[in-house]
Amino acid sequence: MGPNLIANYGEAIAMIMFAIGMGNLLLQKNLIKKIIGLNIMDSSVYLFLALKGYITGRKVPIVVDGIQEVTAYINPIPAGLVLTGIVVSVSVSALMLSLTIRLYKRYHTLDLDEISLRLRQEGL
Amino acid sequence: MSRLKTKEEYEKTIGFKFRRWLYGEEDPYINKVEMVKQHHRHVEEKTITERMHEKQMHREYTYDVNRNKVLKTYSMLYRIASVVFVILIAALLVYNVSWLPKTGAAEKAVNNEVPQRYIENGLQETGAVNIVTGMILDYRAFDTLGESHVLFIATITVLILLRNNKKKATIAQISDRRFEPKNDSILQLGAKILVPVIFVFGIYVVLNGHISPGGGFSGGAIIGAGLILYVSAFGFEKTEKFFTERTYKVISFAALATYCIAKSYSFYTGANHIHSIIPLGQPGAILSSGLILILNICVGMVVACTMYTFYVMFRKGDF
Amino acid sequence: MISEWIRFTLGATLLAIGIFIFLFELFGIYRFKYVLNRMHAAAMGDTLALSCFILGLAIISGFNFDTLKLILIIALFWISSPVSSHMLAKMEVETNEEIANEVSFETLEEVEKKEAEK
Repeated sequence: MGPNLIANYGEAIAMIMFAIGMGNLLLQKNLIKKIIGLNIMDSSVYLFLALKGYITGRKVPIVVDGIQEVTAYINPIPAGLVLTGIVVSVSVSALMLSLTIRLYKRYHTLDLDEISLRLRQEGL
Repeated sequence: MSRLKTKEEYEKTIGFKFRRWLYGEEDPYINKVEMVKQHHRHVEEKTITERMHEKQMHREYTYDVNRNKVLKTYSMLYRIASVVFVILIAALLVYNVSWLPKTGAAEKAVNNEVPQRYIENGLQETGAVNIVTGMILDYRAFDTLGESHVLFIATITVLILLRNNKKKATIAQISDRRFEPKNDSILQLGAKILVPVIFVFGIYVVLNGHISPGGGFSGGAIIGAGLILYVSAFGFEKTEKFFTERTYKVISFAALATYCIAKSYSFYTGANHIHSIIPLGQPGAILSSGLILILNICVGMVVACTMYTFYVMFRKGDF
Repeated sequence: MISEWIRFTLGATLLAIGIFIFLFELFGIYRFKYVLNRMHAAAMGDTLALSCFILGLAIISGFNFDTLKLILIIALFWISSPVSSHMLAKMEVETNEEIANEVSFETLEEVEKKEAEK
């Protein structure tokens, strides 16, 4: 173990959240729960990025009173990256949910095992 | 013994007397008549195995036992392997995190000259007080254009996947409001109070994107939430007056085209060292920071329409 | 100095009450078995515990512009949370076919008939 585990507890929690989401993705049979797991993984990545940009004692990067020194503000770049991530996550979730609705209309179940069984019975 | 006659009558018949003569008069239970020792019942080995095999065959025919066994083993192995994999990944990531620089430390590799440039020159070069907005809509405008197009493409895909066939399927349209709120007076009162506030707040967040926290994406999401609340309280008859599929297409296309044209002008002048005619204005004022306000409005419109379209397509499959 | 201490103590007490109510809410959600009981427990946290929190924060921060924003948040939650709970309960009543096994209730027609009899 490295020296900074206690100081980096937020990042460690983000990583554990990532693992929880991945476990959901692998172990759940319900497709909606799989999508929820993917969203948990997304959230953990946002938390990690936001913590990477944070600097103790500095403020949000909005210029107040004309102060423009680097030492006054936190890093603005991770905020932009998180924004990109949220937008892509919303799009991917909507796409996956619509595909799930199509599957449900075809097979009337959300269980992935059942769907693959039906697929095998149909000879596909 | 025949049940048609009583015992006394039966004992008088010739048949009974004949049987009695034939088998002997003695009662077999009082040990007068010799009992024959029973033979040991012998069944051949082969028949047993054949019968067992038959049973097995029937079971296999009915339940597909072999495959089920494979499936059971596979699912057990899969579960164990995935749990081990997840724990391994968590341990590996936490181990890596423990070697990262401390949270909140200023001397990190990510705090290099790029954010320094954004913070020190951002206000003069973009005119936006909010440095993040200046960054994502000016320095990295291509990125945001790509995000808007990702949203647009996702909406188009959802439209393709979930749209009803207007000639055939009317079942979904009929059953649309079966489990949905149907003229619920409590919800309508809440929506009457909340929807105007939500709209005003969303427009405020969009328009103040370059001054305060917020911007096109968050403001657009707020406006989309207001639209969703409105449609779930008052139904599609009210929203179809001002928002149809055509409206969505027109608004999205117009917003994305405006974005493209504005940023093309900006990149063209910047690449050729021509002075842009768009004034940056007074920092902190609403009408400042050049093109950022227009771009924020474009992005906000795209996001609001996208959210509403997602909801409508998931609920009804049609506008 | 003493007034500041009193203010801090008051705010902290309100925060503690809010945390307690949240704990009860969580306990109720996992303790109850039926949906409507669980919703009753959950709605308690949305309204009472959150307003306790925000009131405590407003008292600690003192009366300024932020207090107004906090009060606006309380108003938003008091309008939106009961409405959403009501919609969820209505959904449960409409879709659960065996609801008579769980709760006893009167339909709207029965209530109207009783009132007409009075």
